Amino acid sequence: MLTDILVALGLAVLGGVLYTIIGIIPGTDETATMAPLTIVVVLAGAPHGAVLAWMVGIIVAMQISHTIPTAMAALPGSTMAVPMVQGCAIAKRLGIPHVAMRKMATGSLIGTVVGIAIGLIAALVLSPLGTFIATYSGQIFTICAIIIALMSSAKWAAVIALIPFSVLIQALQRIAVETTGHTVFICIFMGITIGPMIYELFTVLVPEKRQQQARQQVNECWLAPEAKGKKMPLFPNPFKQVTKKQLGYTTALSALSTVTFTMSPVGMTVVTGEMAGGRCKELYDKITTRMTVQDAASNATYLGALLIPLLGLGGMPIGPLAGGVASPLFNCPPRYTLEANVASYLHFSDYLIFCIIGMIGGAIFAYPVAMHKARSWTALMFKKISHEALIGAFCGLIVMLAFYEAGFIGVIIAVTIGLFGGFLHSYFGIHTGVQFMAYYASSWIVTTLMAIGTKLL
Amino acid sequence: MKKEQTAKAPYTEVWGDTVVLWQLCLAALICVVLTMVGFLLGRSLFLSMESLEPSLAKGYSLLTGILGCFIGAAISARSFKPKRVVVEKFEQSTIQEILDQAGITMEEEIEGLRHASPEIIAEMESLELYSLLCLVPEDSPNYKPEYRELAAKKEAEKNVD
Repeated sequence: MLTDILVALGLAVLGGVLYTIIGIIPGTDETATMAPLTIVVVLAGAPHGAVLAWMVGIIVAMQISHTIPTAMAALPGSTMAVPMVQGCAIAKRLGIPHVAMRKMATGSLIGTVVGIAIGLIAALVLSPLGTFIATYSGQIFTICAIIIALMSSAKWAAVIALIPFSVLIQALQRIAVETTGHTVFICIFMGITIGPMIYELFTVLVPEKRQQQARQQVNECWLAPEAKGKKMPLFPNPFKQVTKKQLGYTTALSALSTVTFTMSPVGMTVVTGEMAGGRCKELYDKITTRMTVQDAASNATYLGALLIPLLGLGGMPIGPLAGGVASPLFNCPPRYTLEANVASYLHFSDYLIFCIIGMIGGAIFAYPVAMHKARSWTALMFKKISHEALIGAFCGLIVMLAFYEAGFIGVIIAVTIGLFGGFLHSYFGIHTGVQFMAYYASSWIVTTLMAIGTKLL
Repeated sequence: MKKEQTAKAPYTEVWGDTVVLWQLCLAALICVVLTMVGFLLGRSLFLSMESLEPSLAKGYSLLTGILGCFIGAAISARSFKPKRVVVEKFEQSTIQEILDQAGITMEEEIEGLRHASPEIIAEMESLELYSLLCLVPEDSPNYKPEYRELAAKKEAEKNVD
């Protein structure tokens, strides 16, 4: 147990440092960055508790650090930071980007604490449902996929697309079984994740489209000037960074967004931000309160959507996080399967211990960096990390993980799913969240279709 | 004619940022090759260790693969510089413009300042947001006559800059 705790602490701190840096790089997608390395952590045989601590740690770190470029350059640090761009742009015009930064990072810490506490309680309340869900998992995944599809911008088109997409997945599974003797998960999951990138890379191969994407000049990025002001301690007291009213709203709305774990995290961030901001009349009050609440809610939604399906629903990957970012904790063959994953090995006390380790490991580096180094680190990322290197590294990771699971044919499967899924995502608005759920529903959908097909022969 | 146009545009926008296409292809190639070299070397090394379980050996080889990936990314980052221009400046915007962007009218803002909590007013004071504070109406408990003087002083400083 003691070694488990030490490994967990080590992994949480390592993940915290790594994802603080990744969070500062603008525009990095959560699933694309968090899932591949988590797969590696799982497959390298880290203890089950340490895997949980790693996951919590990287979520906490990234949720703090993605606010850094958002505040300093009004460029979202990740997909979850997109709703905060407007507030940051106003803070930038008022000349107080560093205040936006501190409010968001503080909100993030509050959201973490509330998310873990409420998430664990809600999970305990829901836990009797676990066996029921396991019995009807095929049907439940299909219903979830339909609901998520209806909530996407494509509406009914997304529901209809579930059928061809499921057929494609199951057909590729058959190819995988013929070649390797087993079904695949990582190839398909990674294919969906990097779909939008594959779609864009494919687009520039088409001469006509390449012309549309051609640019005469490089992008211009704005960077906040050095902030004047008092010196702060290394780890500033979070409660001194927000007003009492902001603390109250942040706590209450974080608790609300924790239990709505099946909703879209970006959606919840927008809704809670409006709920809090709408109650403030004055400009400064409105934008600082809204941003504090937004980063808290995005963090709390993530933690709720991780802990409730794990502890409460018996390890069934229901909801956007369990199917996406945190997927390797639920399904990562050969180590984890839907029948035996992280949820099967941990007890309530383990969740408590490893979540706290993850929270500390994730925040210990990210929070001081956000408070003190926001500007200089953003400048460093802008000047040193090229987009070419970033896309290149992604390609390397994806090819390796697909090859690990199914060799050469695995790479082909990942690219096939990526191109098709990327097209659905970028062209039709059937986003990757719908596709992740479609993966879990595909087996039941195709079996049912085949049963109908045999009868109507 | 068309060819000339492409030759004139050296950059391409991919996945939210501008890149040079041949550099992107090269970076992807370097990273994929180095990652796979790391992975395959690690795999043959760890699988040859008899004391190690085969499944764990394959897991460990992912770590050497990641090492290769990091090296590839570092080489690419050093060889291909970012295509961005970093600008550092405060925008000069009037309060009216900022309020428009936030969707608040001037009347609403004045009303908001009248009833704002002392805590918020104190924060704004410490941040020297006098251009907002000078809008506090005189009949409000938040009103202080020096706000207007300080706002005027700050405005004068700005114009000197």
